[in-house]
Formats: sequence, structure tokens, C-alpha cells
Amino acid sequence: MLELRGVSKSFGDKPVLKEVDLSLPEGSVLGLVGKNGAGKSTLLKCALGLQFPERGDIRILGEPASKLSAAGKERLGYVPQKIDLYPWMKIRQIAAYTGAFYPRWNRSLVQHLLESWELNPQERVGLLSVGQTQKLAIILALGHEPDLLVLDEPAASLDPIARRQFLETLLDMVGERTVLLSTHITGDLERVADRVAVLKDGKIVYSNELDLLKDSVKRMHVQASAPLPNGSFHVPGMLHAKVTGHEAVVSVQDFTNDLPDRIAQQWSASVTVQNLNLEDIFLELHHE
Amino acid sequence: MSDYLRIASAYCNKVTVAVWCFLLICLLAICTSEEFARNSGGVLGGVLSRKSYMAMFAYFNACLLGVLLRGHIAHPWATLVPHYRRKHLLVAASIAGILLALPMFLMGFLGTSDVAPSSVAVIFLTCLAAGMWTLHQPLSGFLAIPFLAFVAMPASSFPALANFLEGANPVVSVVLAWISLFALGVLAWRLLTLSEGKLEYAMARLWGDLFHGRTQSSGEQSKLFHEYVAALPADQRATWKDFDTWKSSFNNLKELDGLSGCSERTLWQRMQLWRLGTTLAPTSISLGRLMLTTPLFVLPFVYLPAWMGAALPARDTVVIFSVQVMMNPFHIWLFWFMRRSRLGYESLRPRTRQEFVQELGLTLLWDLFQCWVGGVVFVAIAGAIWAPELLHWQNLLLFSFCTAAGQLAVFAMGIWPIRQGQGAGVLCTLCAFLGVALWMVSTMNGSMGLVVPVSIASLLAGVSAVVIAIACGRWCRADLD
Repeated sequence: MLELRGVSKSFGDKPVLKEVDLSLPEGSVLGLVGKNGAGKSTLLKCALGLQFPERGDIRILGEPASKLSAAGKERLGYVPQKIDLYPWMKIRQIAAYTGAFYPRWNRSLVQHLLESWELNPQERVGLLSVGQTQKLAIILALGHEPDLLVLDEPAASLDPIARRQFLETLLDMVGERTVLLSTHITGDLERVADRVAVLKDGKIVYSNELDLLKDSVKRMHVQASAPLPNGSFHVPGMLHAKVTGHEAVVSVQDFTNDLPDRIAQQWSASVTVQNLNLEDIFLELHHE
Repeated sequence: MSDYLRIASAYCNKVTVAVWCFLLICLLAICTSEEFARNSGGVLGGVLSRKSYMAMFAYFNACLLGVLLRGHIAHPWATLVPHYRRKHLLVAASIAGILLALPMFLMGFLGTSDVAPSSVAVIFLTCLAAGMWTLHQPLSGFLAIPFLAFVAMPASSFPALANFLEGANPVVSVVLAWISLFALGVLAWRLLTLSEGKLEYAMARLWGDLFHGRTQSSGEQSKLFHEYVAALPADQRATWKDFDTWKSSFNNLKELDGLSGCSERTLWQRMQLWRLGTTLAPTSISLGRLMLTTPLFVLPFVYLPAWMGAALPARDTVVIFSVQVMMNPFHIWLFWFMRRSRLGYESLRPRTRQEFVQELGLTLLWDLFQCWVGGVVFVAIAGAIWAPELLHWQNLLLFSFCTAAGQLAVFAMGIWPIRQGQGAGVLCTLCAFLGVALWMVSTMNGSMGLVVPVSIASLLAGVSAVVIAIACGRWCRADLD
């Protein structure tokens, strides 16, 4: 569905993406996470052919992103981070206008979503709140039932109820469509995504199944009989460690089942392993 | 000191420097031309005179300086600098003195000047005050009217004006200077006490954001208005409750309601579809509205001099109409500039990038073409009423050819920049329009003969065609948001 190979992009002297490799298999939901300014939006825009990388190759829906055909775009839905719709139109009019471009426009789906997301078709688009505008943009992106849906921070401005509704709608679509979404709300990602990619300083530092990420990044509590060395305490795949006397809290990536035993043996210690949620993993991966 | 330099560099950006250079070149050209310096009669003589270009140089730059000054003061970033309001005011005053007043005085040493130094000072102060105030509040826009009257008045037909320009009327000069200084003082005081609750603050943010391209939504103005109404006391709010800023009898919303799904469309139909995403009103309606209101603004300039005893050559009336009408497409450009922030989103509609660029470019060109045709017809009607002797096939052909080439040049210049703020794009295009308008004034004045305007028009058309082709290629490879 989407394949990025060695993609680099910079704005002026500032490199934003550095040799990014990423692939998105059909039918999967990939969550792209990263700090502000990590390059998530730029990566999505490059993937859609909106922006052109200096180096690398991008293929989307089997075509080069820079020369995406009209038929390819029919299979694509996109919700940008900054949404600027047509302020003078009413909601029903913007739906009709958008539908006029797409042969597969599903009016009843749009109608149903407008009702369930409590958007009044008679309301003027320019007077909608940020959250309402975001809801509308999501509905317009779903209207033609795209095969690939690209969402840039789709739930950032939604209230908790709308966010839950959005996630439910997205879950209904999983299995039929492929979704690529960037978000800061890692809790949402855990509900819907089966794959995750972590973008750090313009590079993909992890890209695989979400469960594998959870299996590979762990936090361990080490309780030794003798004081642990503060500067030289090290375990394989260590991301970050905090050593206080006989105790250490260490987070690792590439966790293996035998690692706690090896640490216990090396430091004459007892080791307990703690599973992390995606937010904790995100923080550990970005720990400076 | 570094704060002052940083603030000054924020004011002297590429766009403001380009506008300043354009106006300075116009001023320089008119000051070195002895023919224009003679200040011949009629409105044309009024416009093509040294005092008018001085006024335009000061007024337009002051409008821009005012937008920047207010935009900076009202932006949260500015508050990071201690005593930021005072510093911004000092920098703006220095820019006005060095970059506006100084060149105006230096022009006095070129050619044969008919404007005394004391009058230069008064023109500078009055235009600075009027320009700085013009966009401060919605109602202060009326300050453009006395400015335009001053520009259009020929000194040869108004002895009082000639006296003033020669510096022979010190009382008027002193009064005007004091009024201007007072107006500038009041403006400074209002900026020093500007707070978020005031409409002036909202206006400052709006214009500042428009200039810097920070406004993403073209609905910001209406949203701003609705927020302003929401903050009013209950009794005043009730008056505005049902006011819909987009409500209009003549709009294309019925066409939107009539859209029934996607079907195979011809290029023409696709252009009509794209057009619906530009603005509320169809081009023909906004053009018609403009033509109906044009006489309201133009006729006072036509009849006022005659009423005051000044002779107005019939040719001048037609030229005034022609300039005004040929500026028509400018209002279409404004809507297209607002659309720029949506282009990335819209480019993902089921068209290839090349088809998208071509179809949207043709849609814009069609809008401009309608305005041009409307303008030519309108000028022909004005000619038939006021100067039938001008309705000669050679004049008509010259007018049509030159204005078409001018519009094509503006189109090329308008689509060339890819990443600019709305305000910056608008200013660049406005300069192009002013250039075309001034050229048209000279052409219609007959001072350039026939060969020169035709040669210029041919060259313009040829260069424009090349620029358009390159611009299309640039847009096909451009990064869109």
C-alpha cells in the first residue's frame, strides 16, 4: 500500500527526514508517533505526493507518489492537521461539493456520520468550532470510502466523546482499509493500531507490530545485594537507567526472556520486569 | 540596541522592500520627467504629477507600515521584548523618517520641482497619518477619499493647490501639519494602550496575519466578527444576532445544492466545478456589482473639477473609467490568494497534479478574462457617452491589446510565487496592477504614440507566456501544505 525507501527531506538547511524507510501492508493500521517537529506531517505529505523529497523513493497504492494518477487519488482519503475548508458553504453543500469529485461517494454514509457526530447540515462551515471542523474533515475523507486513509493528528481537537466515536468508526473500517495516522494520543493508538512507527529526529527508530514493540521495550527493577555502580551500570539494549545505591530502574529495547536472568547473575540481584504502555514506551524511546 | 535592529529587520522584509522599491522607482521616474513635471491640466495631469507620486509613495508605504506596526504590537511574540510597544513605535517612526521622508525630500533636487520643501513635509505628514490610520479601524477607510482627491486634482486648474505646492500658503500648511501630527500622536497613544478586548486589536491581528500568511482559514474575518458580536453586551448583541456575513442574494450556492454526485465532466464543466471552491459569488455577479458601483466613485472625480471651474478634457473621463475597470480583476485575485492555503488538500482530488494545475490555472484565467471583457465593454460605453470621438477602431484595438497584455502579465506575476503569505501575494499583484494602470494612463494620454505601447504590449505578452509556462511547471513540482 505504501513504501518509503531512503527518503530524505529538508527545509532550507534543516533536515527533517533522514533516510526514512517505512512500509505499510494492506489492511493494517499504522500509528506514526513522534515528538513535535519530529517530521510526522512532512512524512505524511511526502507519502501523499504533496511534498517532494530530495532523495529516496516513495510508492503509494502501487504508483510513484510524485506522479499519482487520478484513479490512485480516488482510493485515497486525507485529513490534514491544519484544516481550511470552504467557510461560506453549509455542511450539506460542502458534502455535495466534495462528492462531485468522487465516483464512489457514499451519501448515506456521510449522512449517517453527520447525524451520529451531531453536525447540523444547515450550519455554515466558517462558523464551526475547531473540533467540529475536524469532525467534518474526517467525514469528508471517509465519504468516498477510500482504500487508504491518511490522518494527520485526526483526534487532536476532538472532545473525549467525539474521539471515542471516531475511533469506533475507524475500528469498523479496519480489515477493509489501510490506515496511516499520526498522533500524540498514544492511548488512542493502542485501541486501533496494529503497527506502530516511531519517528525520532527525522529517522524511523522503530517500525513493526505494536505487540512486538510492547514485547521488546520493558522496564526492569533491579535489587542488588551490593551497591550498583552509578556510571558503569550497563545492560544490553539499555535505553535509560537510574541507579540509586542497591537499586536500579532500567529500561531496555530488544528485550529477551533470558535478559533478567543474565542481569540477576551479573549483579547478584533480583530482577522484576514491568510491562509498559505505549505512552511509557514513547517516553523511554525519547529519553535524553 | 539589538532589540531595535531585530525589530527593524522584521519590518524590512522582502515584500515591504519590493513595494518600497516599486513606489520609489515610480516616484523617481516621474520626478526626472520634465514633461510630467509641467503638471498639465485635467485629471490625467493631476495624477501624472510630482505631488501625486509623492502622495502615493507616502500613503501606500504608510498603509503597509501601519499594518506591520499594529500586527507586531498585537502579536504575542512581540511581548517577549521588554517595552516592546515603545520600541516598535520608535522603529516605525525611524523607518518613516529615513525611508519615506528622506527620499521625498531628495526628489526635490531632481529636475524642475514644482513642490516646495515645506509642502513636501506637509504631503509626507498628511499621507503618513492618513495611511497609518486607513486600516486601523473599518471606518477609517474613508481617509482614502481625500487622498484620492488630492492625487486627482491638477494644480494648474486649482490656484489654491498651486499656491500650496509652491509653499505660498503657510497657514494651510501649518494647519495640515498640526492635524497630521495630532492624528499620529493619537494613533501612537492608542497603540500604547491597545488591549485584546478592542476591535482595533482584532483588526491589527487580522491584517498582520493576512500579511504574513499566518491566517489559514479564509473564514477568519467572519469568525472574528462573530466573536466580536458574542463579546458585546446583550442589548447590542441582539441587533447582530441573525446577521450572516455570507448571506447574499447573488451567489453560487444553488449550483452547489444542485450537484448530484460525480459524473464524467468536460474540461469546461470541471472548470466550473473548481470555480465553486473559490468564493461565494460568481465572477459575473461580482463584476456586475463592481460596474454598478464604479460610477458612484468615479463620477465625483469627473464632475467635481468641472463644478469647481476646472476644465476636464473628455479623454480624461474615459481614462479614469478605463483605469478603474482594468483594476477590476484585482478583487478576483484576493479570493484566489485565500484559496492558496487549501491547494494541498484540493490537489488530492482525483486529478493528477498536472491536470490539477492546468485546470485551476485555466479557471483563474477565465475569471480574469471575464473581468477584462467586462472592462473593455464598460470603457467603450463610457467612451460613447463622454468622448465618442475616441471610439475609433485603432484606439479600441490599442486599448484591448494593451489591457489584455497587461492582464496576462499580472496573471503571470500572480501565479509565479508559490510560497508567500496572502498579504504579500496581494501586494505583489497590486504593484503589478498599479504598473499596468499607470502604463495605461500614459498610453491613453497619447503621450507614448502608437508604436511604443504596441511594442511594450507585445513584449509583455511574449514574456508573460514564457513565465506562465515556467510557473505551471513550478506548481507541478511545488511542495503544497
